[in-house]
Amino acid sequence: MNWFLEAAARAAQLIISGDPELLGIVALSLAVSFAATALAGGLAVPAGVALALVRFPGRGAVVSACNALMGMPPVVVGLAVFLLLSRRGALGRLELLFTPAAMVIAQAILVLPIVAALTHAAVMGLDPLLRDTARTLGASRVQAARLVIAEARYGIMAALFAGFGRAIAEVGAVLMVGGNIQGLTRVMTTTIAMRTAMGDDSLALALGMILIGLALAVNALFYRIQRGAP
Amino acid sequence: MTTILLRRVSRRLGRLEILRDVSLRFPEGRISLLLGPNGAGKTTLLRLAAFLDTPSAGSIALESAGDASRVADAVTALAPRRRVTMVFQRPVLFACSVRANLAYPLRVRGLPQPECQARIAQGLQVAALEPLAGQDARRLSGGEGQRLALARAYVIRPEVLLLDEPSANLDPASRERIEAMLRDMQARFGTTIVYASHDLDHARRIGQAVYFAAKGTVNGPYEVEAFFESPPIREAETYLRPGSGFG
Repeated sequence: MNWFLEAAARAAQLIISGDPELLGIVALSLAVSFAATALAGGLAVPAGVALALVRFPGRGAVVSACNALMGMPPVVVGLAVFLLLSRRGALGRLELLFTPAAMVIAQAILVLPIVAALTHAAVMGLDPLLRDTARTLGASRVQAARLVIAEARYGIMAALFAGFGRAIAEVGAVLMVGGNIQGLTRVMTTTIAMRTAMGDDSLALALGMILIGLALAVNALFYRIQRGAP
Repeated sequence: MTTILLRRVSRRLGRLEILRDVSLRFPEGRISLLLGPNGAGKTTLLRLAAFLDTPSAGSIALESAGDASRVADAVTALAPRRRVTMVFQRPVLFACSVRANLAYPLRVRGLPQPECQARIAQGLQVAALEPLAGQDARRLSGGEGQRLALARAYVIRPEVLLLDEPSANLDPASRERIEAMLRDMQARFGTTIVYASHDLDHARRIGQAVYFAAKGTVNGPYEVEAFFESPPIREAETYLRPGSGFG
């Protein structure tokens, strides 16, 4: 238990001291994961709703693909984004490799299938007569779709929570495309991995505790906002 | 007053023909009963008339007396769909308050706020839901929920109202309230009502014409008392007096 207590004490000490490097790492972690979840959510929520509502050939295959891709290995995504953004890659001219933008892109790709698949599941779980009811009450196609999203709001929020959780906890992809550069692309998870490799277990564990605490705090905050919403 | 006109309407699902060459015109401003055994195509007919589904053949139109220009054939168009509404056997209530449920059909039509408030108040009153206005609609009892579903149709002041067995499994008080709401709509708005039901006593009390669906065809209109006293076709006889076929 000693090492655990020591780590907890060190975590508390780090938080209290307000170490600027730590704050920078925490802020970047949150910013990158928020941005990735927002970017992926903006695409995946409408996509998930459409997958549930619109019939088209190959729909089942797309749903299966989303479900399978929820478990995509981050390092594979990291590698793909790395190759895409590297000097000789298709998007190499943007010079995004080893920037926070590259990390956002990689995480958004990881988050996208999670949010899409869980949004799809949330909408499929609604009453099949819901959309017909909206239409009999005079809703246009768009108005009916909006009602469906409102009715599935708890499930969609859960999908976004899950996506954010994936992003904030992920290390492989951000390490590959971000590079863990001090003061530029170093985030919580890459710092933990690095400190562990360096043998500084207690600092790694302290950072791990802060990371878990942050994830809890963010989810609790979202949950409150969601409950408060009409 | 307006009614729904079906011209040679068929509806097929794969190889299954649910409705076959149905032509009819429900009498304006009246309560027409749509009777018939399960699987006779009653729900299918109502969904077509509500412009929810498209017929495989034939056409469905709204027809207003003295106003032929208002006839609409476009099944997907929003305008005719907003003049008709349908209440399902199992009410689908939205995850919000009773009041917000009533506001929905008015909001999608973009009605001005004072008009919305007035109609919501009227809807709450006729459905006897005033004390529950602020409650989560999904926590209503079966009878309350069905009254809300009908009140949501009431505030629209529809020209045509289609009901798919709304009184199934209801308590007597809610059934009476629903009956009063239908008469009210008929009197105030001149609504043409088509009422599918298996609840024969109740149907007989409020119906003003009978249509009988069996095996994909729909016959009628029949006069109500005459239909119940001496069923005009053999299927109706079997439907009204189960077991008579063996006697």
